[in-house]
Amino acid sequence: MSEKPILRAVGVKKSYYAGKRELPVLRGIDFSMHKGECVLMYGPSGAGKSTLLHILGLIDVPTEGTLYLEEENITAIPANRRAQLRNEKFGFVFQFYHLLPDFSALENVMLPLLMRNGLLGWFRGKKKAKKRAEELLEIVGLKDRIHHKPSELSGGERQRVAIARALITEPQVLFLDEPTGNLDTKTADSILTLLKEMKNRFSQTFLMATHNKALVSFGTRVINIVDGKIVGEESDGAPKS
Amino acid sequence: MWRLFVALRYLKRRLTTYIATAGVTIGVMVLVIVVSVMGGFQREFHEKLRGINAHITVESYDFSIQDAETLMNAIRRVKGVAAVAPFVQNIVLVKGMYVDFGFIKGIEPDMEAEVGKLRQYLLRSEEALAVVEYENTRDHLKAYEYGIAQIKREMEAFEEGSARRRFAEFALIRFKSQYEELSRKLERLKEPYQKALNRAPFSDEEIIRLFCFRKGETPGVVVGIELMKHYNLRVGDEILLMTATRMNLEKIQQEKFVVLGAFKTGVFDTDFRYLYGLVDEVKKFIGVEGIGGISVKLEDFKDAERLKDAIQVAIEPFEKESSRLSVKTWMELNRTLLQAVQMEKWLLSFIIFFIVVVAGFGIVSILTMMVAEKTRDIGILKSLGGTTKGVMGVFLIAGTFIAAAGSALGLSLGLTFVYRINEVAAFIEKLTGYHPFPRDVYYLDKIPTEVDALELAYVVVPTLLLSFVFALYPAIRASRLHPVEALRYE
Ligand SMILES: Nc1ncnc2c1ncn2[C@@H]1O[C@H](COP(=O)(O)OP(=O)(O)O)[C@@H](O)[C@H]1O
Ligand SMILES: [Mg+2]
Repeated sequence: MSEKPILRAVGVKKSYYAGKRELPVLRGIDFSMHKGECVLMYGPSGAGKSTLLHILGLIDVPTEGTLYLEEENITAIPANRRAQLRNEKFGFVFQFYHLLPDFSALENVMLPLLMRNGLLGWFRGKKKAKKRAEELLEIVGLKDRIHHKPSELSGGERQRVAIARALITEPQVLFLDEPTGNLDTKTADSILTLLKEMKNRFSQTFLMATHNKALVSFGTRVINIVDGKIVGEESDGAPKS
Repeated sequence: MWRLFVALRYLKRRLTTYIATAGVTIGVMVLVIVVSVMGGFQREFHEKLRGINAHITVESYDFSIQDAETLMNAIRRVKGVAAVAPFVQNIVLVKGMYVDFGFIKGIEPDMEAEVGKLRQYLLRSEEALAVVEYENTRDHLKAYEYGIAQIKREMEAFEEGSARRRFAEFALIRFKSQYEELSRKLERLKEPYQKALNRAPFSDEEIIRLFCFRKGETPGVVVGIELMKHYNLRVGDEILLMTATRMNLEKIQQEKFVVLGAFKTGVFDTDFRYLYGLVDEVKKFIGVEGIGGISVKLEDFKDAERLKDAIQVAIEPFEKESSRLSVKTWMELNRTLLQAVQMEKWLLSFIIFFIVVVAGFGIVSILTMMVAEKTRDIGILKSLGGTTKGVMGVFLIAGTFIAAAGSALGLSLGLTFVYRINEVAAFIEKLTGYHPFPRDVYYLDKIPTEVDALELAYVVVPTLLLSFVFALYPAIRASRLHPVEALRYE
């Protein structure tokens, strides 16, 4: 892997404060990943996986440490640039789907693209976004559910919508935080099958957090997080110290 | 643009949206109606003032205008002047059944008719009679109404069967029968009264005949209808007038005048205090040689301020031989009155604007509710790439949209109401038997309205600005939400 990493974190720390008492959540994370990788972050609940995912995905800020996106230091960029990067480079899938309840499946999927359009070209942009969203919803197997509101969809279906929404911007990195955590085993399996399919179809770069041992086989690389620290890493099953 | 897309979706199908919009609608509607009706009354009021006062008055306080003809010609030459008329005016005491002060104004009737609205205001003798009879009967009826109510109230205190009680009951019966008789009389007098109010303007010939043709040598005056009522005067009656000029206060002049006719302008004070006579007779009565002033009518009264200066320049040569002449517009002559009316209008609008303010608070509360309810959505929008400004925009647009929709609705409903206000009034009259704007109180056939684009802007623009300001607080709060906090919970 001589290519430069797509995402790199150096000495990332995150602490919360209860009054004067410091509650460290991340205690110095060094991490990098490359294009095309499928990294699985495994660790017990409360280990700090979500926190790290949010920091890497520019939803949250670290207390300490440096972040690089394609080797560009992005630790201290202004808020609207962060928002722009979230929209253009990253996609998110959350445990609780996090769809907008007032919008149909189709509109939810379209939204990240719509956010790029101003007043000029709104209708043209909307048309294009709609076409792409329909394609994606068909790919995730929801062709006949596109006009349903999230409340009219099952958990598995909602997560499929969320995946379609995350993919519509063709993100460099797709962050998944316990994407099957809220689903029964059978539905979870079908979601994982879908994700694998996406991985192959779009050669998508993944960073997935889970506390479920059974999902470990999903990653091409697994990092082990316990109590805010990376305690182990293995590539394709081979322990790397 | 996506902000509008999201904001509209948040507003759609929510009861609170409609309630908040209705609040703004009602506020704007009431404001539009009030501003338009008050504007209408103001216009009518101005028109009345202009009807009595010439657009511009050139006056000499010591009656020293000797060559009125040359002066009038000089004024006539000013571009924008439509007509001029000479007058001589002085304070008088009217002596009859009572004593009151008034103003006698000597005019050249045919010229005055071109300058003011004398034609419309003058009443033929049978018309004057109809007005006096109807209005006297109406006032009488009101007095009985009041008396009956009074007796009814006092009767309660008297013991049943007592002498006082029996007397009161007897009085009540008498009063009631009188009242009914008067009601019937009023009904009979109504038609001639309406006819008199809708009278045709006087022709030149009628005006001349009214002022100039009379029996005997006694000078004549045309009096206001209120004076006629108060002093119980008829055409042909004589009244005694007394006067003295500023220049010679000790010398009190006194002369009998014969009542030639009456006028009704609809402004009580004018209809009570003004007496019109012929210039020559009035000059003789007050004992002066010259004319007191010139009334000027303009082609457009709105030019008064501007033409005042031009007239000032045109009459300058005359100020050397006579004393200083003062030039005043009709607005200057009635400044306090006009200011009071204007003030009243703005004060009322200001008070009613608080409805809009309350509606604005409605917007704050529904947006605050919306922000609380949409906490998770805000986190999602931010994770999808929404900026702080973007999220703020969603809620600002939502608030402003409510205000805009409410304003548009209020504006159109208000204007519809204003344009149909007389039909609405007629409907209310039919329903309750009581007209909300009785015409004999306001001397107006219809409820006047004046729709002014600028004043509507004064209603709508502050409403929109205010709503924007009100929406700012919840919108800023929404935009400050941390996405991680917002996303945490299911
Ligand atoms: N706002 C906060 N204040 C204090 N502690 C927090 C806050 N947010 C998260 N934590 C703590 O940080 C730790 C890591 O949380 P998280 O990253 O969600 O873990 P994981 O996703 O691995 O289960 C947890 O112990 C949690 O209680
Ligand atoms: Mg977690």
